[in-house]
Amino acid sequence: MKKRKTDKTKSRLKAHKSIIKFCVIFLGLLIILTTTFPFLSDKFNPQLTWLMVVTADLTGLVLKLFGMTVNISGRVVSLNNFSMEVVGECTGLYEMLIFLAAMIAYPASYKKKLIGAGLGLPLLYIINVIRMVFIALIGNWSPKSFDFMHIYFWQVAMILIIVSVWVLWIEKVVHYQKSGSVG
Amino acid sequence: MREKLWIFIAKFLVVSLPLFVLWYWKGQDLYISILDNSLYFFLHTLLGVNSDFTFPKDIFNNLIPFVSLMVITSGMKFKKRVTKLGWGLLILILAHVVLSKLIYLLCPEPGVVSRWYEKLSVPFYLFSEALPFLLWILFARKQVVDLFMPRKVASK
Repeated sequence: MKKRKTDKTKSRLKAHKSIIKFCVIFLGLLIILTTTFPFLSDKFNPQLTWLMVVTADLTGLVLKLFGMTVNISGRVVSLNNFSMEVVGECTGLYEMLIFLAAMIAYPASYKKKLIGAGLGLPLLYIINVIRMVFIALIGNWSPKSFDFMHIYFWQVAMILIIVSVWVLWIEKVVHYQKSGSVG
Repeated sequence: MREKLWIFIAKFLVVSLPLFVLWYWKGQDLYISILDNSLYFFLHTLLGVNSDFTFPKDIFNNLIPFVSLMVITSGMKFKKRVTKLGWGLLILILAHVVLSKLIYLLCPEPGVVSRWYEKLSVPFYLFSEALPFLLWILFARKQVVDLFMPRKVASK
């Protein structure tokens, strides 16, 4: 009983060290990302533009499925009362980069990180398209509310989305496989 | 985590939405005014340094997710929660001051966007958006420690 308690305390201490290590690596990756992003975005400009067009197309497609009259022209999605242009921030790319940094910084095997990237990045993209559809509907229904919802769903809820997918990855991929291999 | 993910998401939405309404309605303008006057007082009145800043509203929105995350995290005593919230807010405010100064240096003329600002604005936002997540992990580490432990030990 006492040994089990000592083991648990040791594990907790180790976990606290892992958290500090995670924070340092995550911060380091953020700094690298922040400094290299301007050069990478120049180099991958055609791919970024393609992602914006695809996001606009998918947002329009989902809106059409809801029976809305939608006109898509390049990166611009137009509804009856409202038009919006899909820019870099609307693609979900930045959420994906932060998620990748959080995943790389987390102590897990490369295999689990690859699984996380394979499942997490498309999931984040899907959530982002849902967010775009939602704010397009809000903009069409009440253009005055668009700014509020746009900022809320991009800047405030963004952290929630990243934290949720990251926690989901840890609980369903990292921990699931660990308990499977132990049992 | 000590609770189910969907409960955590629901709690975040319930807390952050009204907080953001207040922030959007009055809070952000009040915050900029206080920040501007405090910086003037500390730098100009106390230190005799003339320093200009550009205050971009978008960068300051990260206060809301941090406060929401700290408020909804379960298993933290009130006094500790308030202390950690205070430290976190102080770090975020210092980051705001640094970013505001950097943005001023990149765009010293009002209304004129420099080439470097165009290049660096997204990384600035990325950094400022990720900061609440990092601070939350750091300050609520006792509450998120289970995430960093093997499931076998965490579930005991």
